[in-house]
Amino acid sequence: MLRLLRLFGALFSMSLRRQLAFRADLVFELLLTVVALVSSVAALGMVYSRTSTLGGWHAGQAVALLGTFQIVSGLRAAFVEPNIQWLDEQVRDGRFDPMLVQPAPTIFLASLSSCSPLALAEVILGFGVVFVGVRQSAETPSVMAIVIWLVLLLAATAIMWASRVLVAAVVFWALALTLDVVYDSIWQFARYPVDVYRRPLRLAMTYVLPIAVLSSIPASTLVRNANALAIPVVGGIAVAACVLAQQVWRLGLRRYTSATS
Amino acid sequence: MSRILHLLWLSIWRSSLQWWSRRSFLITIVIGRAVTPLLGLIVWSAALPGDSAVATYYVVLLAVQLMTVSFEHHTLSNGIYAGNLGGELLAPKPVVIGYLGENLALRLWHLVFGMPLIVLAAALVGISVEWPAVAMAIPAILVAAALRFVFTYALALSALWTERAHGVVGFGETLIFLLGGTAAPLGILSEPLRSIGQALPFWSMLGMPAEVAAGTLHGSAIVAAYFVQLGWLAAGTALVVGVWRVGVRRFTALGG
Repeated sequence: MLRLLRLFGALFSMSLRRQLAFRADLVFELLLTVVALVSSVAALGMVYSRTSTLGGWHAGQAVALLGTFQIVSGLRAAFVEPNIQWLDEQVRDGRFDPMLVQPAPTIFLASLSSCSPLALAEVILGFGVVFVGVRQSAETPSVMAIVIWLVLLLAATAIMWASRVLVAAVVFWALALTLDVVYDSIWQFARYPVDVYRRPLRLAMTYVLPIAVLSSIPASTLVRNANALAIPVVGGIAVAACVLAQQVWRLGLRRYTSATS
Repeated sequence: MSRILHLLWLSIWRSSLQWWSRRSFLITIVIGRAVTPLLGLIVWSAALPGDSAVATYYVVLLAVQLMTVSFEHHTLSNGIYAGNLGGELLAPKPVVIGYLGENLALRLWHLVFGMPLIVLAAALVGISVEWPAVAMAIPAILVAAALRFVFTYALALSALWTERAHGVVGFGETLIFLLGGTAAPLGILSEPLRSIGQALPFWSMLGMPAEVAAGTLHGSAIVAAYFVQLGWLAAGTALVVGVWRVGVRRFTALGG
């Protein structure tokens, strides 16, 4: 585990130096991140200009939820997407083969071996949005609520990684099927409180798809009611999702027969 | 003119067949394009429960969105990056024909594959549209489709200057989302936001035809909206011609 962390650190450092070399791109990416975030907050502001609550969430609470969503989205964009989005192409054209002979777990190399440090700007801005949301909320969260929120954020990140790997692993069974866009589409539903959705959709997003645990549950503990019970529940889901992702990945690797002869 | 139309038809036909062979991927793109109007429908239905006008607007917006999608950052920009533009400049036809044909083919498939989603959303929220309003919106949809193509094409041409054309188009799409009527129907916003939004080109690309079809825009407001829309189309066309002329002069083909 320590060896993987050291490897991860070295790869992060390399990616960071590569991105800092292109300063105009850096400024442009930062600008895009800020514009996207301002746009999301403004869209939420438009909704709250016509209503005081949305699914029982006040404006400040919804802003904190949006910030939580941005943090997990930023972590996804920084660490997971730069690798996993190419998996289907790599499997199709044979570039996946070299990963199998490298001295590190294939699932690690395929999902976390390079990163886009600039996307971490979204994470930093996300924390800022959460802070603004908390300031707008009527109640100030206790230290315990903040700790629970941070733990749930970690669990949400693990669930994000596992679910993304599970979706990408479909390529081992169906080479022509690319579900990235569908995953992205479902991901967008985590922008808003899960209570906004009608009952069948809400149940699906709570018990079938991990939408509620990505943003609604962590944000709820921070700005609504801190519930320590959420830690074992969401933590259990995170562990189960990671184990499932690894098992499915192994099964997929067994099916993989390389694109070349 | 008939030769150009014939070439355009051939391009649409060829692209349609090519995309049909990738239909599973196409369906995922359709879902991707449908998600923001659907989210708008869900969120605004929760914010304003019982307001059938908002629900109707978002279902119509979903249809307009699927009929006006533009992917020139993938077709044109990626073609420039791959060095395909050099060959196209030598072909005895305007370069835009191929991209316009692919655009129209993609819109056709978006409508076909998105139709079940539109019907399902309409049935679930129980929309009520008046057919005269829909008929009045048809020219607006056509102009919106042209305007969105021109807008995306102009932004995609930034690939002649920068490797960040996808980011440039993404920025444009963020503006369309925020000011075009997806984040909120402009009609329910307060002044001066509404007037500013209606004067900008983004509403003409998406929200305006949806408002006409949903019946939330009436009389002289429709006429004024058509004038704004046509004005932006003329300005956008002039812009894209100018950007193309400047860009193609600095283009140095990729490859050897």
